[in-house]
Amino acid sequence: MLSLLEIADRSQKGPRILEKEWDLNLFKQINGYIQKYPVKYDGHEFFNTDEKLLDYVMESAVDFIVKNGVYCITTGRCILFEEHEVRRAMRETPKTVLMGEGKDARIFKQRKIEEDEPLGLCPGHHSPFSSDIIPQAIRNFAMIPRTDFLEGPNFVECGGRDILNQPMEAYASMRESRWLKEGVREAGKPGLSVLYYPIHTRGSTMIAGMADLGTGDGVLLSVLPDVKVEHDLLTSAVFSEEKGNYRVSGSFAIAGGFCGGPEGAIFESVLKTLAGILCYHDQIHYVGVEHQRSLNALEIMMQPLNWARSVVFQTLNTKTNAICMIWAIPSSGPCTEQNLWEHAVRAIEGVVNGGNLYAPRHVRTDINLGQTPLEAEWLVEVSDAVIRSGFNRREKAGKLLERITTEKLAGLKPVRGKTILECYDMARHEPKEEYQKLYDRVRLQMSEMGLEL
Amino acid sequence: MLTQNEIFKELCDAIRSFDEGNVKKAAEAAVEKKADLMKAIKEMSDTLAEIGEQFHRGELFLPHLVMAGEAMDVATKVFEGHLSKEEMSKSKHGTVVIGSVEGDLHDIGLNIVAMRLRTSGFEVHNLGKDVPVNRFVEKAQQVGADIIGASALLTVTRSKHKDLVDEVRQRNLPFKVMVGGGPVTREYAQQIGADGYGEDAEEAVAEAMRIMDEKGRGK
Repeated sequence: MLSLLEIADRSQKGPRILEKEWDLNLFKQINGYIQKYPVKYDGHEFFNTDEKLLDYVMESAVDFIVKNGVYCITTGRCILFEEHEVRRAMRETPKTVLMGEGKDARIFKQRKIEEDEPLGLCPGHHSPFSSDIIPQAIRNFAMIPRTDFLEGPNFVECGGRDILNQPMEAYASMRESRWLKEGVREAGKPGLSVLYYPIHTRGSTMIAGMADLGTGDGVLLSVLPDVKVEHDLLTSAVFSEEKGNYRVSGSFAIAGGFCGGPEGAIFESVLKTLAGILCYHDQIHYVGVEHQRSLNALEIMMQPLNWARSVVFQTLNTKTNAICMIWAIPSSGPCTEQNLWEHAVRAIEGVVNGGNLYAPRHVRTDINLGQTPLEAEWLVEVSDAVIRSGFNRREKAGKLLERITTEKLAGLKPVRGKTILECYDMARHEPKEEYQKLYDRVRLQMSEMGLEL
Repeated sequence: MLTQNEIFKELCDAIRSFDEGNVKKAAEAAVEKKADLMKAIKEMSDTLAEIGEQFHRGELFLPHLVMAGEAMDVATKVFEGHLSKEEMSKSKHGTVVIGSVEGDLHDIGLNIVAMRLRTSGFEVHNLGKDVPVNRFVEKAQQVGADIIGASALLTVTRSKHKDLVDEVRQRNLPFKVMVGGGPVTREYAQQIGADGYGEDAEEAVAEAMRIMDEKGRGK
């Protein structure tokens, strides 16, 4: 694998290109790959069954990186790679990551398609909380039995002050890491791995937040949309690598952006994963395809996004060592049936596609209105039931998703949901009555579809 | 020899095909024929609006909006020397300076809003990502903007929206400020004193139209 300093060097010396030209070139190249195969949703499959498509997507992604590189927005230059360097990175990125310490150490690993073993879990946060409840929230999420690592929350005020500038950002970043460590201790898991979530991507802020992390902890270093990287995050990668931290990237793609539609987003997600491995040495990736309409909570979207996500996961799980996570990002907030059904869909997909579970938040969060522990526990419950009940095969799982789409989600619109304080009792680590009843109802309906919950 | 309407049809077809070469040819033909260039601009704007609707329905994507906008810019550049400043400004709903606030590197939503405003008839100056308050203001002053639009996707960066609103108010600047982005809500926008808020691209366009309409009525 190329060293991060080599990446930094190439970002200074690669060919210059205007960002707008890069964006349009990305679209044109991806469109070319789509037309050539052709890559097209067949109108039926929830899970891809075309094995040749996976080879084609992977080879096209390698072809793109070799011909175009990865764009560095700091220098306005392309970081170029030889083909053998790309393929070596695909092989050398580790299939497992050891995280945490002592009795709380975990091995987080790449999953198989149609997995037979329980999936790994990061139950939160990645969503905003008011600082007065953060310690309690962290403890609650850490208490979830299957948690492998816990990501930090974000927040806008700290110690009675708004986080407005670099000194405050640094202070807030350090608070985040210390709250995470304290929260996992309070949950009786002092060695549980924590993942630093950037309060701000400024290099100084990132380093302040990583300063207290141990070697079993990690940092979120995401490749930017449209296959772009930048120097603050590269700086953070250099620092975190020497500290021994693992790195996670949001390598999903958004249909409707410069990659084009869902077919184009398949390519972008694979490209971003390669870019994360090459440029930041990211080891864990939440991948897949979303749509700008669902991310704006305009509608709950299913096909062809389900199919497109399956192509991404299958490609990465069979052609690289990348450790993938499904990104459960429902368009509705907590304490809504839409949210629980959307989480169920992602849990089913996780098992069949080979994606560990990542439950950060819903699409339009607000302070304390992003998530509760129940959604992550529900993800685990459904995914375990999928394996136990034999629904972890593409055809059977596809029929289940079809039923959820037509019987449960059809006609529903995204709704805002409730804050964690409104629907969840953090003192008792349980949902409040309204949410408990809703969960019981959805759970019963899910089991009536054949899952042994 | 093509008629005016035939030339305009070629112009609009070329925009639909994102063919800048043919756009330029048709625009030059319109000038040579001494066609009604304001009508040409109106028809091109309608074509752009149609493309915007196709995007909204999910039939086209962001690159198509960009390419259509660039194709229309080719024609507008050809027309510039043949229309007065007043005529050119009449052809727009208003001028918007837009960007992601300082510290925010996300721009998909921003680019979509910028292009939807563009295809809806606004002159748009997209400053891109990580834009400090003073740069928003400088650009707005430079181009005589009506509206400054600011996007934030990180909860912590949305505080820069307030900085922008405060700067505009304290200096008594003539711009309206619109805000948006994932963690931004209507309540938050009202709380910080923003003039407008868009939950998504379509609402942003409607809000910008409303602001310009009120401006026209002297509010």
